[in-house]
Amino acid sequence: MKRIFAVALGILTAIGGFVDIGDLVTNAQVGARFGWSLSWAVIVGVIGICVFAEMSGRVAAVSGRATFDLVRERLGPRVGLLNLFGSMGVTLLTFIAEIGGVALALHLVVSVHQVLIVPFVAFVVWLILWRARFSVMENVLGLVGLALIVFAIALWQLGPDWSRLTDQMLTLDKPGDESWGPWIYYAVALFGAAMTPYEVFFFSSGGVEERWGPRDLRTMRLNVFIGFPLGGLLSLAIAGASATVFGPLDITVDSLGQVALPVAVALGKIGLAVAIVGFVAATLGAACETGLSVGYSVAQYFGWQWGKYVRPDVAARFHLTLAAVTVLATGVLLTSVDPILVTEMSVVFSAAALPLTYFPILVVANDPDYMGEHVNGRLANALGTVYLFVIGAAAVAAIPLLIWTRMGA
Amino acid sequence: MTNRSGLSRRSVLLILLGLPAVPAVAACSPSTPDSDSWRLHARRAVADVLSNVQTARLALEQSREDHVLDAYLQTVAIDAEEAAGKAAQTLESEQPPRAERERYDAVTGKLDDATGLLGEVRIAVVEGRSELFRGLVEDLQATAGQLDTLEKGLGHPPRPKVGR
Repeated sequence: MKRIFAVALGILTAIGGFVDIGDLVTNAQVGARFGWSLSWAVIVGVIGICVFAEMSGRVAAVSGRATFDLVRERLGPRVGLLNLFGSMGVTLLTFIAEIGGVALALHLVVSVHQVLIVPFVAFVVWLILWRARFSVMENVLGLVGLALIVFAIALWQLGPDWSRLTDQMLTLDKPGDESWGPWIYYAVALFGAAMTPYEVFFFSSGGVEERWGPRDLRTMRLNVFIGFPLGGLLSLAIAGASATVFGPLDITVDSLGQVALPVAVALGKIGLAVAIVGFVAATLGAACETGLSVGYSVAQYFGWQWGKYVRPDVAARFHLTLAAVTVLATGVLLTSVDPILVTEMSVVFSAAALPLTYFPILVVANDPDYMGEHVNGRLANALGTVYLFVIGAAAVAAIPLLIWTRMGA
Repeated sequence: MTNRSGLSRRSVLLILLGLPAVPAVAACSPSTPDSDSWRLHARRAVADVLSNVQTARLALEQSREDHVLDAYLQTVAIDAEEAAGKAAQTLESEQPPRAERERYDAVTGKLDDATGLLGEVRIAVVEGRSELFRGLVEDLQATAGQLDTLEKGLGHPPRPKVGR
C-alpha cells in the first residue's frame, strides 16, 4: 500500500510539476495562433523528455550520483565547463522567467505592479530553498500545480469543434493565413519548452537527494512514463482552450492574464481562481527547481558538497550559490524587463542548448563502468540517438529562426 | 602625392575620417521603409491593437456575467492598454513612405482612437464603474470591426487616385 501511494504521489507531482511558465505562455500563444496544428511538437518533446529523464534517473539510481556529477569525470573538465556554461546559462534564464512568472501570477489577484512583488517572491523562493525539506517542496508544489487540470475541464466545457482540432493535430500543416517561418519557430519553442534542460538536472539530482537505488527504478519509470505524458496533455489542454476562445477573435497572447481568460469564459470565477492558484504553484515549483538546478550544476562541476539532504553549513558554497542566483534574478527583474519576453527567450535558448545537456546523458548512460547491468539497451540507444539528431536540428535552427521571424511575429 | 587610384593622401584620410560620420548622420533621420515593409508593419500594429481590444472586450463581457475577479479584470485592462499603446507608438514613430502618407494618418488616427478607448476601459474598471461596461463593450466591438477592416485594407497597396 505504501508503495502504491509512493507511485501515485510521484505520478501526480510529475503531472503537476511538468508545466512551468514556458509551457503556460508558449502553449497559449501557439493555441491562439495555430490551434492544435503544432501538437506534434509537444508530443515529440514529451517523448524526448521521457527518454532522457529515464536515462538520467537510471544513472542517479544506479551510480548514486547525479548525471552532471559524472560529466566532468567522464568527459573531462573542458567539455564539463562548456556544458556548465551552456546549460546553466539557460537554466538561469529560466529561473529568472519563473520568478517573474510567480510575480505575474500574483499580480492577477493583488493589483500591485509585478516589479514590486518580485523581491517578495524571490525571498519566498530563497526561504524554500534554504529551509523546506526536498520532499515537502516537491510534493506540495507538484500537487497544488495539479490545479492546472482546470484547463482540461475548461476545454471540455467550452465544447470545441473536436473534429477540427483533431484534424489540425493530424494534418501537419500550418493554418492558411500563417507563414511557415513563425510556424516552425513556434514548433522549436514548444519543443524547447517541453525539453527544458533543468528538468533533467533536477530529476537526476533529486534522485540522489531522495537516495534512489536500483530497486526504485520501476517507480522512477512509472513517474516518467505516466506522469510526464499526462503533464503533456495539460499543455495540449492549454493550447486547445486558447484556440477555442482566442482563435475566432484573432487574439494573440502576450500576457499571463490572457492565458487564464478561457478558463474564466468556461468556468467563471471559481475556475479562474483555481487556474491562478495553479499558475502560482506551477511557477513557484519551477522557480525552486530551476534555482536548485543552477546550484546543483555549479556545485557538481566544482566538486562541492551539495544538496538539501545535508545541513546548510555542510553545503555552504551550494547554499551561497542559491542565494547569489536568487539575488541576481531579482536584480534582473527589477530592471522592469518583461517576464513574458524572458520566458520566450528562455524556451528558444533552451532549444539551442539542448545538445549540451542531452549528449552527456547518453554517453554516461552507455558507460558500463558506471551503469553495470543497467547500461542503455538497444531501444534506449536507438531513441536516444534519433533524439540527438532532432535536438541537434532544433539547436541549429533556434537562433536563426528567432532572428529571421523576429520572435515569431 | 597621389596613390595609384589618383587620390591624394589627404583625400584618403578625409574619407577614412569621414566614414564613421556617415552612420552618425544617417542616424539623425529615421529610416524610411518601402511601401511593402511599411504595410507589413502597419498590419502588425493594427493586428496587435485589435487583439488587445478584443481581449478587453472579452474580459468586460465576462465581468458583466460575474465570471472574473476585480483585481484580475484590472490587470487585464491595464495590460491591454499598455500593449496596444506600445504597438501604436512603434508604428507612429516610423517614417511612412510618401505613397502611404495618407494611410499613415488614417491608421495612426484609428490606433490612437482604439488606445484612447482602452484607456477609458481601464479608468472605468479601476473606478469600479460597472454601469459603463455595457456601453464600453459595444464601443470595443465597433472599434474591433473597424480595425479588422483596416487590417484587411492594408493587405494591398493604396488605390491610385482617379484624375479628371
